[in-house]
Amino acid sequence: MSRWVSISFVCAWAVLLVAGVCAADPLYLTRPFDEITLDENNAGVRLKVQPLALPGRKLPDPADRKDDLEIELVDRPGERFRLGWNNIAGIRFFEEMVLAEAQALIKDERFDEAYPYFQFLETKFPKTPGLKDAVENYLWAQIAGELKNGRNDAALALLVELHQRNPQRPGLSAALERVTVTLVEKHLAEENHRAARGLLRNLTQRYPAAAATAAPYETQMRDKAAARLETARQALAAGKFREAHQAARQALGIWPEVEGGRALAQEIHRKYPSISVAVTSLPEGAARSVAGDWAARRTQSLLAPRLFEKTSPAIDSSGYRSSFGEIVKEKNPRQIVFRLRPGTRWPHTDRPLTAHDVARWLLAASDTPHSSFDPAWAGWLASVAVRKDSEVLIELARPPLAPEALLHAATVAAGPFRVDAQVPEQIVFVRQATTHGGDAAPLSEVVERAYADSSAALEGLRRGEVSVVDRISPWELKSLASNKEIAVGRYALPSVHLLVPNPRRPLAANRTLKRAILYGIDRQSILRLALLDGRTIAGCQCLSGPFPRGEVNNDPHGYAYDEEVPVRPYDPGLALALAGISSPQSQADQKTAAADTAKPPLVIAHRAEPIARVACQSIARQLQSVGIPVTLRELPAAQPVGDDHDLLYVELPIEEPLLDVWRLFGPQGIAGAPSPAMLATLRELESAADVFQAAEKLRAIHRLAAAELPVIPLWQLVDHFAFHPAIKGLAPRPVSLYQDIDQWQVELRLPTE
Amino acid sequence: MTRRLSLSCALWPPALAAWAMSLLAGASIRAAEPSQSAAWELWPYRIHVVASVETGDRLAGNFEQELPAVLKSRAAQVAGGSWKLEVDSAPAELRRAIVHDLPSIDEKSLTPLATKFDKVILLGIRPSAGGFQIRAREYDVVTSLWNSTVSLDVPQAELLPHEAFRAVWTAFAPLARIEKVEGELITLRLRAGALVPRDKPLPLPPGAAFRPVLVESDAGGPFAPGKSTLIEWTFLTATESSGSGVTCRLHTGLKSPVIPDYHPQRQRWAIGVSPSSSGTTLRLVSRGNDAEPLEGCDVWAEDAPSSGAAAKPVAIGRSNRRGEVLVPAGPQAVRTVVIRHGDDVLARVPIVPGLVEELPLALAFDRKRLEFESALDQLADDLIDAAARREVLAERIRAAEQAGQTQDAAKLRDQLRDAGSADALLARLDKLQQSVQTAGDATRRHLEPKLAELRRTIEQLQAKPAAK
Repeated sequence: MSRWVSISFVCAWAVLLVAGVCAADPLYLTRPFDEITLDENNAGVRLKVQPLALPGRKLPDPADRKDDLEIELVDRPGERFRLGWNNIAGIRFFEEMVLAEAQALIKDERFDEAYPYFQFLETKFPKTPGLKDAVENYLWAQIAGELKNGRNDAALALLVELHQRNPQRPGLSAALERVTVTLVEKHLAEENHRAARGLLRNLTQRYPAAAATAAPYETQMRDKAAARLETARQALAAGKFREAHQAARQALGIWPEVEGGRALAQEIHRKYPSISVAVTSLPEGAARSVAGDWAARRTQSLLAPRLFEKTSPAIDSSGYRSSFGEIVKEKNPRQIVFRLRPGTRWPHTDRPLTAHDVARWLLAASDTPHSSFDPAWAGWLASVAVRKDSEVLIELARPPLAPEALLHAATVAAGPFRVDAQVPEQIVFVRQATTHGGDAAPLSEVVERAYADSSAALEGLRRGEVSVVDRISPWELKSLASNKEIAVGRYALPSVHLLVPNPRRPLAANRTLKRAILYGIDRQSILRLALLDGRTIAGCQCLSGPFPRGEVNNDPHGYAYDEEVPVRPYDPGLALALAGISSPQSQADQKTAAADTAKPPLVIAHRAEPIARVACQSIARQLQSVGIPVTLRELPAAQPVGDDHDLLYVELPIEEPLLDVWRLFGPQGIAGAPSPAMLATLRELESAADVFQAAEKLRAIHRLAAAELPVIPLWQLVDHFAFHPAIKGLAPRPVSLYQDIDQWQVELRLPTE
Repeated sequence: MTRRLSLSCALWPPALAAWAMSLLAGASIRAAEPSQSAAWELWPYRIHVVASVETGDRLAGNFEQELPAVLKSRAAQVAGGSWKLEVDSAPAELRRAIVHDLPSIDEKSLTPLATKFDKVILLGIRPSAGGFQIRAREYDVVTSLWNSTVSLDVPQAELLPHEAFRAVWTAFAPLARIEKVEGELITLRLRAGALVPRDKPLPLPPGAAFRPVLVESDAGGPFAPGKSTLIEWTFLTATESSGSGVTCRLHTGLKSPVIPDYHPQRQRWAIGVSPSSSGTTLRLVSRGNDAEPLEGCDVWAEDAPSSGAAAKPVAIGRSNRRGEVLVPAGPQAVRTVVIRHGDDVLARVPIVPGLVEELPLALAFDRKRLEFESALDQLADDLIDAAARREVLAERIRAAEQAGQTQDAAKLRDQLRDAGSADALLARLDKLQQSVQTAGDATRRHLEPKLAELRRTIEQLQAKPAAK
């Protein structure tokens, strides 16, 4: 069938807009009303009336019932009637009816459903007779239910809530003590000493008489901490700094006030500086060039730094630096020479670095099976030759516009750190060589600890478990604005967030469905409300194409972005219609497709990162509401993306659009084989004579990408990191966290309660 | 004892020759053909096998000396009088090339070897990791055409004489005369058919292929080398046989009529093709003086199943930066490859993978067309969006009116008025159509139907009342 569908076909899909049927709302969500029951003379009729304006919302004493009661029937708005008190058999106020319905739910053990009823009553009708007792009974019933099901954590939370409401409630202290002890024993068995300490502290604060119950457990922890501290002392004496460091931290973790603990930890830190960094995803252990893999990008400069590192948003050579040498231009514009700096050594040993080493790295990056393969570099490289011991002659297919950006592709085969140990919750990097480029005492160890999200990571930073949080979810920024104990830094380059259609799935070739998806996602709302929590952050904005947008006019980093291309608006009606049109089934049979409810869901895969998770959950909800069912698939850290998805949520740091465009849309790019028009424009970009021509071609690619949608553009985010102010030497706006790690000066931080 | 044969089908390449000969054998016992046909069928092939053997220490020193006798003896048994065979050792200047680089040998270097012969078959034998490798390739003198390279792996020295003949037999490309052309059905008559020994008739090899060649002759009839013309991008595949005649189906990438009518001074021949297990690199370039590689073309193969069912396209690959894509051997000798660029079919041509290593194919391609098509696609997208948006608004207006929400309905009507106009789309189409008029004929012809369809659809949208 022709792509140019007939108008009648489009019209057939308009029926999809018929509104659904709403389910009946619970009582507390309905418009309030009171209920009057008339006497037998009036056949006991019940009247639904607008809420009565009786003093205190209660029946007046019989002596005060002199005048007739003025009422307004719910089904006859605007008309007022007078009713003699002698005709009234009874009155049920709205709040009483809500309370009765809530209690009926509790009786059926439907606790979750009852909760909003009580929340409503406590907010709107706190003086409802019997409400206080009803809430306490509700909590008590819930506690019994949780204990019966072995959910001690949930039971404890309810006990604390009940204690706040009525500390004197009979049986409460015994129940609280029993549940606390059970949980303390569990945490001690799991070596979660912080949790155990916290529970015991809370118990004794609430019920000082329970101190005797807590004492044996506290003694147990104190003794254990002392034993670990002794191990640390012995290790330090033996010059085993790493073991000493670990043992001292463990001792302080078990019992922070252990005698002599802090002094010993300080002494060890002077000899073995270490830092803990909170992250939300750990790398696999070796740097990998994976699109959108934040963890791999972060640890690259530790494990396998690049020959040229991007250090600032500048688009000329000043945006790059190399620890190993410099680029020298040759007469032949297609040739460049990489000249090693005299005395340069490998990052991990004292072995001198040779031109042959550099040549190998350059060749590896152009070799498809190699992990450092870069399609952009492979398309440029013609040959590599070692000219002298310290010079590598690089012949390119065309004169390069940005040679440093090109050589950025080459990855050094070893970094200053290596992975020493990895468990699911943390990874330890230890320095491989004592030489380093900074003035400060070099860090001997970097420990990355995994947290569920950046909120938990920030809590870890506050408690002193870590000194840096590598990435803060943007919605956390508001709460940090006035926090003096936590400093916030921003990364130099924004990350571009895209949905990439799987080139091996039908969606990739379905332009109409891709547009439906784009129109069906309220990108502005997700960005503003879900991600930025209502704040405006410079540089965080929706995109119409795959390149970063300048933060201000003439921002050089936004040179590839065509501001003339509008961001497609959120249009759920249009999305619904386009989704219907684009379905292959609909094209075969319009009638059956109109009622199609069994469409296979689109699978959206995303990394197990908080930002991706929040964004994808919002996207899934919105697409669902426009008739595009979605299943989310979270990719655990370091797990290959695989092929089991229709769309992949990626966050890309577009460092140099001139080259990154090949990683996106080139023949071996993440978006799959380019369309003929895209490929032709890419080739034109290749032959651009200068940066201005290249910029024009990049903007042409933006326009084409906005039409063809090889990727679905979402937004760009400016990423931030947080650190304790005691950490010095961090770059003010690094491209990646460990960019200047040799300059870091780290004071010892110890966990606090 | 096992033998490894590197051909895709171990039996049928020699079967092609054997089948041809068996047909001729059958013909020889039937009533005489018209005199010209009889002469053709009694005209033996004069074949010169030029051998180069590089055996090292693994063969007896006299193997190369004994080889001519072995080959002649086997040829007499198998081909009978249809082959007049001579076997010689290769001259020094060709010895290494015959063994190691057969495709590098050009026809000029064969001139001294081809005198008085119809065919020269180069035969190279060398040791390999698993035993020996035999390679053979035929050059047809009159048509000046090379056949595919045949390659056999032989694990044991004792098998070499037998396998060497098999390689020569496989590399041999029979000649046939085109007798009748009826649309896509071509009737051939095989040369030297009356001279082969009687044998059991072999089954028709599926998809045995021939290349049609036009050979000029003077009034007396002798054929001289260098006066033949291959009909390019055309193959004949055998479908059935009848006596010494063979019925073939025509596959061509050219426009008909492909095979010209009979002319007494222009013979219409067909020369067999030995199938190969190796592929051919198709190199796609743009037509014209400054031919450029065509990158990003999708190449598909349409291999017609022997059952006669419709061909199911198989994706072969996408042309790389140099315009190259490797077409591997298919289930039959001839594969019809379809070259697409985006939604457009640029060419549909038959090829025999392995017949040559690289095959350039020049295609009419206008880079400007890409721009126009891209603009057309965008216009079509916007048209779909406009039509859908309009209907959505109309539906919402109806719903608002039914619910008595007159103010909402009025607001929606305003929106519909803003969104409903197709004038902007028509203006864009007009502009695009003007640009297309400046393009080349082929591009214009290609795009005009799409422009017309788009215009019709936009006008349909314009004519449709937006809402009551």
